[in-house]
Amino acid sequence: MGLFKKIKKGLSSAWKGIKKGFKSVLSKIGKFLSSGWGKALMIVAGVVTMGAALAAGQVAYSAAATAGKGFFGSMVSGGSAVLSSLTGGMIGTAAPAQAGATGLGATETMGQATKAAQGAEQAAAVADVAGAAGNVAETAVGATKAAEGAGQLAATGGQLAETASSTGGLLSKAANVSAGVEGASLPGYSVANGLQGASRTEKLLSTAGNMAKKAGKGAWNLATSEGGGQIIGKVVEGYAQGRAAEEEARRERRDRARLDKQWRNYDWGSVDFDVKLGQGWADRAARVSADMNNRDARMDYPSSMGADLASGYQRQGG
Amino acid sequence: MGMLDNAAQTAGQGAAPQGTPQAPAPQPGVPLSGAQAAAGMEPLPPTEQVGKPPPQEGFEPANSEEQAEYERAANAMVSLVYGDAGGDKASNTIADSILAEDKIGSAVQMGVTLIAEVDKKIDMDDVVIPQIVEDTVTMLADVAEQKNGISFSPEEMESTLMGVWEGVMYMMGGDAEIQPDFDMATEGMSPGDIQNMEKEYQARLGGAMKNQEAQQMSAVQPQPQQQVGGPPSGIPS
Repeated sequence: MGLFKKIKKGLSSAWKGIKKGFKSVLSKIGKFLSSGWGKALMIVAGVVTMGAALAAGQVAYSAAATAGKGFFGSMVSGGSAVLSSLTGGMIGTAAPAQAGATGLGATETMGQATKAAQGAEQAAAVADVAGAAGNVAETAVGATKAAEGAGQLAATGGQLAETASSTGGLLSKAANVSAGVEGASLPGYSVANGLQGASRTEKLLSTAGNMAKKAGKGAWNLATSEGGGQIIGKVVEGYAQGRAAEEEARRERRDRARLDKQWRNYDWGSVDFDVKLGQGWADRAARVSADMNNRDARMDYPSSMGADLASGYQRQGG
Repeated sequence: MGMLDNAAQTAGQGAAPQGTPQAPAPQPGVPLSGAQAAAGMEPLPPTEQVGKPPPQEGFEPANSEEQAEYERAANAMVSLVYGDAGGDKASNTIADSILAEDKIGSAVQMGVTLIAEVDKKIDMDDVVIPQIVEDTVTMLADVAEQKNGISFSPEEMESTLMGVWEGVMYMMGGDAEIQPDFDMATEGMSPGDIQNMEKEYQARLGGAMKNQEAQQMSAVQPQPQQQVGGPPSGIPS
């Protein structure tokens, strides 16, 4: 029902609704999006979004959602996964790879060797996040089955926690992967992105935990709580699963903070930046990237990387 | 006059009474406050029409059935967002999901989630969805400010609106073909009109992304003057 029924129906009747003048129920709210102006913006967003999709050769909304780079795609990390979880997997889930790729786009000013390392990292990020997307899909299927068995409450329960959990997991995973080089050096966009994603999930799950406790005591009568049931069903289901993801996110944050501190406190005056790269440096860069994408190897960075670099290039005058 | 003016007149001709008028938006060239500048923020590229009251003529008024359907949907959303139905827990969950360091992204995600969930529950008529999208963004900004002191500037509300609407379009469209909807949406527009829309859209998107990145960076590296719930970006303090 609902949006599921509308899938494949197109937006025709909704477009007609843009020009409808409703008497809003929100007249008492101070911060008001003036109706005419807001709908003008919606027309612009609609025309440009659809036009961009058509120009890119995409004929269906699902393809456009996967590749979309508008406000939704740019502002919501792993946006397609969010839509997919809300629509029961009817929107493609390839977009989560963008979460890993976004961080790479923000590192254009990094050095050439680092860029080479990122090339290898990007491939790893896409692969890892694609794996995470697969897990999300499996989770969605599992959650759907569980909901069916749990009765109408779970079936009609909101997918908020599932969305938060899966999105947080994706963001955490993406941040984990892309933090390989950047996290150890520059506090770039992807790190910030990962942090905010983890923070968001943390807050949601913290609240979800309280809600779950209260629901367990029966203090909140969900049967008579229209709207409440839309949220709490999947919150309870996804809570334990989300806790594990959050633990990993916390550990990642601690690691990144430590590595950032190391970077900032390093004695750069003692570093000879005039480095002549020897043969095969690209291979070494890829190896370095692979090491950094491995959590355990990354924790041993100073010794293992030192040995690697010592045999990898020659310093001029140093 | 920007293309948005034409769009506003297309969509907003003869709006029904809408309650409190929108707060005035910052004008182009207005300097940022010190805290905003220190955080690396920059104002969105507003057109001369940002915040201008919409035209009051030409809306096709909703008939009684459509108005009733809208009120049913709006009441469901209000009861969820403001806690009449779900209690304060649900309302607080919604408010807490909007983060100061990622206002637009978190609000867009929550907005799309709410619309999808309410629609699953009550199966809204398609024709009311654009208005519900607009109302939902308004409500989210309101609860974020009331409960957690996170203010949305007019530009941030507009960016959130466009993000939520794009997400809803993707959800509603599903695997349907885009071309028929595009033809209907652009009926009567020249290629130049569409190009102008594209330019303004990209300018707003670029400005919104820079502000979002600045917010995230300032969250990672706290600024001495940083304050949650401070003056909305783009508005001088």
